Amino acid sequence: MGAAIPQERVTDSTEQGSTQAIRSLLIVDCGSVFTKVALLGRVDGRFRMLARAQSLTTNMPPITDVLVGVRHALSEIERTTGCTLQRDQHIILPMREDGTGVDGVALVMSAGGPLHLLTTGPGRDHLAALVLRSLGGLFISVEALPVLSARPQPPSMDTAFSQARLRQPHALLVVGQPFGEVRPSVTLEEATTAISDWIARLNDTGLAAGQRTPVVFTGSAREAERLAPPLRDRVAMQVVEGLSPSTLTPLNRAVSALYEPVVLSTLPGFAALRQVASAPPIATITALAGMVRFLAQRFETNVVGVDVGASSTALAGSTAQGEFLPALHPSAGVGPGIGTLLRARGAAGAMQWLAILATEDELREYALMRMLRPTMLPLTTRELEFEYAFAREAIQLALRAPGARLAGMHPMDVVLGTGGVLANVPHPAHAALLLLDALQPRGITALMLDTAQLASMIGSGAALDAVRIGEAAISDAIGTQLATVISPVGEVAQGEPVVRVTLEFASGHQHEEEVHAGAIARLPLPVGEQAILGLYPAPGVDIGLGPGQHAHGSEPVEGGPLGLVVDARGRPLRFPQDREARAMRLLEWRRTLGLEG
Amino acid sequence: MTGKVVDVAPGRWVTIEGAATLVHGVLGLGGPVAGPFARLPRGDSPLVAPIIPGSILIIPGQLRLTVMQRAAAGGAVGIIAGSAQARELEAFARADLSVLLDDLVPSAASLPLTVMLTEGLGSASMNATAQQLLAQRGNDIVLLSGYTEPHRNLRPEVAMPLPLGSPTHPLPLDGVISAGARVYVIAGERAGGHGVVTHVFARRQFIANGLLVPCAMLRFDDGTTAMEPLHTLQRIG
Repeated sequence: MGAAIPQERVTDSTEQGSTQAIRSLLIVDCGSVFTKVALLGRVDGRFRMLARAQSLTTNMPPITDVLVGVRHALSEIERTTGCTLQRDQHIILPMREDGTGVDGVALVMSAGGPLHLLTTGPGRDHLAALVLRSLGGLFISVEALPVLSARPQPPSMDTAFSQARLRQPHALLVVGQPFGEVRPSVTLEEATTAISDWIARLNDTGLAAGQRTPVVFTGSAREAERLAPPLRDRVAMQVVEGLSPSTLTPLNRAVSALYEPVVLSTLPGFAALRQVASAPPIATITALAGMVRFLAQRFETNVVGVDVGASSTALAGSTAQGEFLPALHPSAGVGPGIGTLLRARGAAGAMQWLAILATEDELREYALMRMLRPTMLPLTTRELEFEYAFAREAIQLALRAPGARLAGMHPMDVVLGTGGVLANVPHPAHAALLLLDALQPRGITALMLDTAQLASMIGSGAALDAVRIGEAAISDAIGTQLATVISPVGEVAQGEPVVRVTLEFASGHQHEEEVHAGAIARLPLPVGEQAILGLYPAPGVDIGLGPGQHAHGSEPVEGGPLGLVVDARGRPLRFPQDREARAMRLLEWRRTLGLEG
Repeated sequence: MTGKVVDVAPGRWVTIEGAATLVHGVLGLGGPVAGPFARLPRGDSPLVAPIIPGSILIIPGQLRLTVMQRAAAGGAVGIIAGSAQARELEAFARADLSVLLDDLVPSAASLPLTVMLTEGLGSASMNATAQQLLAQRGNDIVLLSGYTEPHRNLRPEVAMPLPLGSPTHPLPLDGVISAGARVYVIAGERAGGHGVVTHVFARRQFIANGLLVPCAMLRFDDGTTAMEPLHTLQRIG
C-alpha cells in the first residue's frame, strides 16, 4: 500500500505554476483523527466546492499509510459525484479532456502533531515575548530545554531530561544574548553544554542515532561562531538574524521551514502523498489564517476563525488593517487532546458549562474515554453536553496559550466557526452559544458557521490559484450566518434594562424590545430578511461605540436562523455558585435560543 | 509460549513466532506478565476468594480498588476485567490517567500487577465474546500486557498461544465496514451486541442526540435489526 508513485501524470512537471488557471482542485486535510478531502471545480462559471468526504486518518497501526485514508475519502467522492479521480490507485494529474482527474492537489496537515521545539540560550528568558510573537501562528509547541549549571549533574536533571525526551522534541532553538547590559540566566557556554548533553542522551536512547538534530540560532554572527564549533558534526545549525521587534520574520521562516522535513516526513506514507501535492503542505492553523486574512482584507473588517479540533485548537484573527492575531493550543482538543484540557483546567472547568447535573468523576471518565477512543463521537445528549463543555474550555485555553494575541481583539466583527465540532451541531444555537461563551465578544458581531468545513482547508489552495480559491472561499467557506449578535457591556444590576433594540423592516413593520442584564434575547429576523437596527443602551453601557452611545444603522442587518441575538449577560460571564442555580440559568439561555434544554 | 524461535539476542530477548488468539482491551496499566488464568469459583466474592500467586485473575464485571490491592498482596501478576472507575484505577496506579495516556511520564511499570480492562472506564461488564474466549483457555499460560498509548493506537492485550499448526483466521486489516461485515458494537445502547451489516447508508443519518453521522443497518444475532453509527462498530469478520 502506497509503495507505488501515486499519481498518473501526462507531463513531467511536479508542481503546478502558481499563475496557471486551474479547472479543478483536490484539498486533502490529514487531521489527527479524520482525513477530509474536498473537490473544487467550476459550477456555472464560478469555482465552487463540488463534494467533500472524510475517512479515518491511517497513520498508526493497524494501517500505517496516510494514503490509505486519503484513498478511502477519494473513493467516497468518486461515488457521490461520479467523477473519476484515481486510476489504479493513482490520482490522475492534471485533469484530462474527458473530465477525469484534477489539476492540482493541496495539502493541509495536522496529523503528526506540532513541531516540538526546545529553547535555550542567553536570551531565552529576556526575549521570550519576541520569540513567542515571532513563532505565533505556527503549528509548534515550545518548551524550555533543561539548563545544566552543575557537574556532576544532580539526579533531578535526569528526570528533567526524561520528561523532555518523552515529548519527543524535533528541534532546538538557541536565543542569543539580548541587547544591552542584561545579565542572562544562561550563558552561551552553558547553552552549548546543555545542547551537547541533550544530544548525547538522545544518542544513548538511539532516538537520534545517525541524525543531526536541527538547531536554529537567532543572534549575532559573533555568538554563532562561538556556539558552532563544539556542536559541529552533531547538529544541523541554521543561523538567523537576532530578534528585535522589527526582525521577527527570519526566525519564523526558519522554524516554519522545519515542519515538513522534521515532522511531516516521519508520517508513514507522507512521501508518496507529497509527490502528488502541487504546493508545499501547510498546517491547519496556517490555512485558517490564510482564509481569515483574505476575508478581513476583502470585506475590510475584523475577522476571527475558530476551529476546535480533536488534538489541537486553532483560532486566527485578522484586523481590517491586516494585523494577524493568532491563538493556538497545539495539544488541546476534544479528542486525543482532551487530556491537556483535563490537566490545564480540570474537569471542574468544563463543569461550569453544563446545564445538567453531573459529577466531576463522570466528566473525567468521559474525557479519558475520548482519549482512549479518539474516533468515537458523542452518542447521547448527555455526552454532547460534555463535548461542547470541553470545546468551550479548549477555545479559552487557546486564547490564553503562550504567544496568543487574539484575546484582546475588539471588536470581533465576524466570527467564523469551522471544523467538525462546530459544523456538525444538531442545532445552530449550539454553535452560537459555544462561540459566545468561549469568546465573549463585545459590541456587534456576525456569527458565521462554515458547515462545509472548508475554512481551515481552503487556504492551502491559494498558492495554486488565489483568484479561484477566493471565489470558492466566499461561496462555500463562509457558510451560514447564524445571527447578528449585540453584546452590550457595562455595570448594570441583574434584571435592570441594558439596551432597547428596535428593528425596522422593509415592510414598514417595527419591532422593539428592551433587554435586561443577565439575559439573552432573540429578536425575530429570519433568514433572508433584513432590518434597520437601532440600539439605545442604558447610561454607561457600551455597545461598541463608547459608553451610553446609541446607534441607528444606515445599512440593514441580515437575518439568520437565530434572528438577532442580544447577549446582555455581561463580560466576563458570571455564573451562580450553586450548581442547580447555574444549570437553571444555562437552561434559560438555551431555551431563549430555541434549544429544548 | 508455543511457537518457533526465530531470533535470539543473547541476554536480552528471543523472538517466538507462532499463532495466538489476541484479545485487545481498551485500557491497561503495567508491563508484560505471563501466567495462568485464575477464575473465581462461582458465587465467590473477589474480596474473600483465595488468590493464586503468579496467576492472572479474570473479573468479568467492574474491578474495584480493594480487589486490585488484594490481588497484588496475594501475588497475582495480572487482572483482566470488564471496567473500573477512573478514580480507583488512579488510586491503584498512583498516577493521573491523562498523564499516563499522553505518555508524559514513563508508564507505570513499577505497578505490582498488570491490569487490562476490556470495556474501559465505567461500570460495564466484559463483553460476551471476550468472556467466552478467555473461558476457553482453561489454565493455559498466557501473556498479558497493559501498555496503552492511544496516540499510537497501542492497546493492552492478552495473547493466548494456539497449539502449533492450528488453523488461523486473520481479520481484515483495514477494518472497513461494508455490507456483509460481521461487527461488534462497542458503545451505545446496543454495546456488546454482535451482528452483520446489511447495508451502509450512503448519506449520514440522525442519531438520538441530533448529530448527523455515518451509519449502518445491522442484523443482530438475536434477529433484531437496528441502525448504528459506524464509529461504534468494530469489524470482527
